[in-house]
Amino acid sequence: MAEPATNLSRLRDVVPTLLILAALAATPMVALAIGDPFIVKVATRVVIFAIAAVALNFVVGYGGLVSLCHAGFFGIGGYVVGILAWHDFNAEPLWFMSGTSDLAISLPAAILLSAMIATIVGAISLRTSGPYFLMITLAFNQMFYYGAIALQKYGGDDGLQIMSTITLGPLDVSNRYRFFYLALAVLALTLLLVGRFVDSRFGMVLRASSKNETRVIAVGVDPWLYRLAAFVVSAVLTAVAGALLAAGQQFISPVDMGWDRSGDLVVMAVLGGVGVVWGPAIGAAAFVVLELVLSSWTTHWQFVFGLLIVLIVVSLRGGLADLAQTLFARRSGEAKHG
Amino acid sequence: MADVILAVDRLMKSFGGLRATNDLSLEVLRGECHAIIGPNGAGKTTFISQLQGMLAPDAGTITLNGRDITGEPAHRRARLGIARSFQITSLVPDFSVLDHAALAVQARLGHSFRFWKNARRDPALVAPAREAVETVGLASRENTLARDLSHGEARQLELAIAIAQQPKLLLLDEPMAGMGRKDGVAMTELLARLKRDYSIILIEHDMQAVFSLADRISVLVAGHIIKTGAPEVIRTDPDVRAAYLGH
Repeated sequence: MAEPATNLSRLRDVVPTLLILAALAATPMVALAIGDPFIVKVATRVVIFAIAAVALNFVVGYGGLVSLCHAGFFGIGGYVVGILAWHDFNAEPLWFMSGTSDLAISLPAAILLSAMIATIVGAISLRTSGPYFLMITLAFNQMFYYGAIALQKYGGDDGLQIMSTITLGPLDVSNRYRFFYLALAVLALTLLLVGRFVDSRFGMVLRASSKNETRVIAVGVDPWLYRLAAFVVSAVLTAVAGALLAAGQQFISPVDMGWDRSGDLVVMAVLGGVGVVWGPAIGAAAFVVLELVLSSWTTHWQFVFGLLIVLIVVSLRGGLADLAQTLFARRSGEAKHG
Repeated sequence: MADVILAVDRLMKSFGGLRATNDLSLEVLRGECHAIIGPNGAGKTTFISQLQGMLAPDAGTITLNGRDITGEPAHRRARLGIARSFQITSLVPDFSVLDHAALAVQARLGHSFRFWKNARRDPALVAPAREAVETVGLASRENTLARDLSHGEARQLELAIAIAQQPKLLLLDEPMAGMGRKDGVAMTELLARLKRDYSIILIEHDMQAVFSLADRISVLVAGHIIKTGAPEVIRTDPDVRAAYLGH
């Protein structure tokens, strides 16, 4: 029977996921205890980038598609929230509808728009593969980036400040702690969704296609539509992360959607480990915290940062998740012997 | 007219100046094991690839069960009942033996736009997959990853995947390639069992296996079939001996 194997893999996925969520959920209490609200701000950033990195990894780690346009989708999500809030604040209708600062409306709007754009971008990009896919998604990212700069009405280069109070239905989420838990709930949902997807029939096709397309076609499946669906799901979740970033920092700018940010997301995924769903969440945490700590030490922090990433990726082929699993395995091994 | 499952009519395929498939016509009867033999470079794998749909012929038609499938892409031909085991093992390294068979089962059962249920715990997939794995004798290795299989086991898995597709026609491209004698004998026994249930096109260099398994044999030389007949006829045919067997 396959049961012991599946139970074990289930344990390997569920336990770390719960540990990560629990650790994050505890940060506001730590912040309150030591009286440093800045910690919550950092934790919120970690959570938001974790959502994006986990979403990106759905196509990178499981689909074998290294996309460099996910910062673009991140930005699209952010700008949908920002622009709708701008119209709300200035009481100026946006075409047929009025603006809104309610995430209950702007989040679905971000989802819808990013899904439509991702369908088009994916349909074109997925005609290519390997380095060509990398380049074409990079090109799309730059289109989005310059598109955002061209939005003169919404701040252009300078970015878009959200002046209104962001709500979720009747709930005011401008409160830092409340917003953090909202973002955390979205991360939990993302981990759950991606976790289910990768083990489903859909996920099996996606994973097999990334390693051996010929085999998948030979058994009667055209991988193209599955890749497109994965790409859209991944883009939409990333857009939600971007929407949360805009809502949380009351600001979105083209800088949040540059191609280097797309690269950052890939680095987070690889750093954390692309082989497990929760890996990129650890990667995002390590990335955000390292960036913060190192940049406070030295202006040449990017040099040290780069070295560290090379070191981690070379020594742990499965990313930080590998380290966590090795420690976990050793502990449980010791427990058995003891 | 006999019950023809696959009819190939005047198939042509050139790579540059090389005519890999040259006016190739062939009929495979339902239930028969039809071996295709020929010297290296005769175009056997090129022919199989055109049957499977990975390669498009330049001219000619391929008819499966009376339906023209010449223009159908490979994945659709698989759904129509053509399964291929590859000469060079084509597996997913981090998928287990059972995963491979289950993938073939889920492809057969229709679309895979099912996002929620765990495929590895889905009895609708696991039960038929396990059956295919047992048929080829890999039951004890069902949780082994493809990358950890021996060469012989990987060849067996290729067959299990094809069987899990429940095909109407099996294309076996050198199923014994690179096998030792012991594995080869086991594979011959397995194929002898399979030929009771499937129509098979068999490409194989092991002449002992070919002559013991095949109902009919076609001889392919330079992309063209020079002779089709029962094994005993082929064995003694002077043209065949000149072109191939005798060297």
